[in-house]
Amino acid sequence: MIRWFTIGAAIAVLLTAACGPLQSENVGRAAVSGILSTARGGAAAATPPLSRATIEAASGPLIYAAVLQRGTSATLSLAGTNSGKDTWIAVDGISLTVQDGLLIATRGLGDDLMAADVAKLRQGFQDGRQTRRVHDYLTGQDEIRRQTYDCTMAAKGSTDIVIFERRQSVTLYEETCTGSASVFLNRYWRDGSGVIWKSQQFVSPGVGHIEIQRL
Amino acid sequence: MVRRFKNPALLTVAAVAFAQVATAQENWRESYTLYGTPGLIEMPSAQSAPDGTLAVSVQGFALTQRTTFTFQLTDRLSGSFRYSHENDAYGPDTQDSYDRSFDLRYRLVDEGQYVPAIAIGLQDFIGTGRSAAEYVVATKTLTDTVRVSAGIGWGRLGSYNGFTNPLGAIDPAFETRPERDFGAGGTVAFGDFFRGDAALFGGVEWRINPDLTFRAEYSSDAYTREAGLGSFAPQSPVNLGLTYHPNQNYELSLYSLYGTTVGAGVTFLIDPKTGAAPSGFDPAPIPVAVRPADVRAAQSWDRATVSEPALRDLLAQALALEGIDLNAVALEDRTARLRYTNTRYRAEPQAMGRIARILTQVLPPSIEVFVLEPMQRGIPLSATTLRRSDLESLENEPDAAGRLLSQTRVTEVGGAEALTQVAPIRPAFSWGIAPFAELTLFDGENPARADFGLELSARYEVRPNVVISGAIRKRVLGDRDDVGSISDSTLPPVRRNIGFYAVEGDPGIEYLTLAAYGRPAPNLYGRVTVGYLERMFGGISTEVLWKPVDSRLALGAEVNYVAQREYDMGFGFQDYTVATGHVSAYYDFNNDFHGQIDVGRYLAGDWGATFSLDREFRNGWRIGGYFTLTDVPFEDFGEGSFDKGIKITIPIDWAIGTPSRRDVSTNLSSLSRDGGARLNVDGRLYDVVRNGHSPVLTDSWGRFWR
Repeated sequence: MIRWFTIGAAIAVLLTAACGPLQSENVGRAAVSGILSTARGGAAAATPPLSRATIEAASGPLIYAAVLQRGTSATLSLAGTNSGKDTWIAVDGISLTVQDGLLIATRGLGDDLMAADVAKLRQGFQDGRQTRRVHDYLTGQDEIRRQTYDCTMAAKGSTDIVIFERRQSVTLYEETCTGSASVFLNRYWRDGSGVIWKSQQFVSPGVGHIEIQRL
Repeated sequence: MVRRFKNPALLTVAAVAFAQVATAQENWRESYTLYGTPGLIEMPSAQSAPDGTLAVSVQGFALTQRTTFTFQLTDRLSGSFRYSHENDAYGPDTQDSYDRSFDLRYRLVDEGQYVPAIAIGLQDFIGTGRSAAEYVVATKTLTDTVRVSAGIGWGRLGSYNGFTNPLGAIDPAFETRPERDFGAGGTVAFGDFFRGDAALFGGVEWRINPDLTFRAEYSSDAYTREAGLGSFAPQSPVNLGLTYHPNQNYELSLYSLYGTTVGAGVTFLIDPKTGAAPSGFDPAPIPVAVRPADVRAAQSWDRATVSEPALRDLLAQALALEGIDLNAVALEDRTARLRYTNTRYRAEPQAMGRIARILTQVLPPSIEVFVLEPMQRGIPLSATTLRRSDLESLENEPDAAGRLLSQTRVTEVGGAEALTQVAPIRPAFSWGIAPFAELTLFDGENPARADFGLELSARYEVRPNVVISGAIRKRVLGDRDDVGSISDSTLPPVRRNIGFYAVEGDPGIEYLTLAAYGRPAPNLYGRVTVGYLERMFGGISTEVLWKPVDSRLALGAEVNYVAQREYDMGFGFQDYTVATGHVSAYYDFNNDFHGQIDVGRYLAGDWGATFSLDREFRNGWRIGGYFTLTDVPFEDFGEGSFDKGIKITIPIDWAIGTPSRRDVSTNLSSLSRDGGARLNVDGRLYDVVRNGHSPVLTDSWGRFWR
């Protein structure tokens, strides 16, 4: 009887999150509070759904992004621009860096795209055009590993898409890329002036594709 | 309006399944034996695991159960530590026994189109040698689904259908295997290797489908000793097994053994090189703020419009968001120099990248050079000099880390004269309560013992480099109530009686110390710690370390005068006092290995040396072994003859994917004997200093832009 009480007490102790300022960087504490906030439904449920009205009312530019494989999504606001590369950041600290609609870096996704060389692709989208792209990844050994992909662009015809109640006439392009480690397909919905309104772009084997919509 | 991106469940999942995402099995990887090594069922094969793999295997049948850690030390060399439990170890209805053993295997020849892989191995080559065997084995993959192995074994592996040792042609002495006189155990029986009868063994592995492998072998182990004692009677040399390996992280096996029994096993495969998330789930850094071209050329900034104290406060506040304590700063017209303590990121370059980006946001545009001096325990470790324009031009560029590193200098720190101290944001006094778990593994009589409880800790920072800290622990659950018997020894009981502390010192003061750190001269570091240094000893500990910023070699000296504490872990001391200390040499080899030699006087007053060799991974994983030889004779030392062990250190951020400077270490196979025992002092200089120095600092540079 006493034994069971002791075991119960021990479990209670271990479930107690560490507390006090000395434990502020205790990861166990972070994990427990994360689980608790999930159990409470999190703050996500409280925010209103995204609509054209809320987009128009926003103080600055926004993009919408979703990690397709994980089923998570967010609205990101512009945090900085460096040489035409825009870094967009979500409230929980995940960022995407985009240049002319092309994803060139992510941060906070676990298997991030550290940087991408897409200079060839930026020169223009043409049906049948061959390009090469280079991705930088961070390995589990804190080193940068470079991956080179040979890619082919294909125009898949005109279509209309709707992004939060706004209709766009676009051409769908598919970029098929082959590298030593992985093969992927990126999709771009691009209008006549070259603006990419929507895209599904490969990040890394661990993250999969991310969908970006220009709002 | 804004919604959350991160799926909170993701972190939890990553924490539980701390292994890489299972990918399609491109290669047919090795399966594990009942001995927890790559091979057939009980017989070894010539296969190796991928470099760095740690396989934790629990396998067994009615007679014996074995827990084995097999580590692929290099591409060719693997080592195993095994803890075996044997039922009825001395015949039917006798007592059980626990035995520890070590193996080594070296792959001599790689498999080619026609050539098989060939390996040579020593099994259980230290200590009692109950499973001692030597072997040479060849393995050839015939098709995508069939792999065969055949070999010749000696010792245990030469006991079924054995024949006269062919090595007898070289020297007839090979034909007899001497009876092992293991004394107190723990020594290497060189004289037994490859001696006595030899026998042939072999088998086949058939991959039925990508997840399932069938194995059959002809075993050359007759279980002679066990059959003689009547505890096990093999009926057939043929063993069969079925192994399920759905991904790269584990395998499950079932066996039919020796025509008389069945066995089962599970092996977990850990790849230290790949963590929960290679780039981590840590939030994105703030982007670099790019200065307009016209202000970049400014030669100075106007201290009338931007007040320096206000700037310092702003910096301190901004850096605190990244878990960085700003200690001191010098803001000149063109250069900013900062001393800071990174409390969050394992890799200093990641902290540097975040600090540098904050500086681009906060500092006046005329400041072009950033000098970052990381500190730990209140002492500066090195100075990394970055150019702001490089940060502006390289952010988000391909190969940004490599290109930045080529423009960056890491040097000894500058003088403290020009620096202005920044008042700490955190209060000088802090405290915490956290659960603790103490795990003792494979200690000779028990496979595992665990204590759980609460630790109350407190810390008062007199100055950044002078800290008073202490902790009290109260056990809530544990099985340490019975100390058992303390074996006799001619040595003073400096570690043997550790059990009394666990029983009587509950609650007890774990440690209560005043520690002061300093930089007496360039390349030199110093430490003085006084108080209750560890659970069993209190006194004074002093240390000096010589370590140039870019040196792979470090030299240190430590002198301590300590008294043994009372068992109740209060303020009292026993009569035993000792002067103990070492001179140490540390060397970080270019090939991910790290060596250390400590020579000096140990706690029992014995003189000797400790040799350590670790395989170090750049992400903070360390797996290594050590042994200590002192002037204590093997028979006086007791079980094991001399102190030796295996130490594994796992960084927390590897396991959970979010930033942390903490790691967990566990020492396998330590016996808490008195010979070769060292004082446990917190904060030894080498561990404090080296992460802020090359090569560790530059090896982690890939995280600068993370």
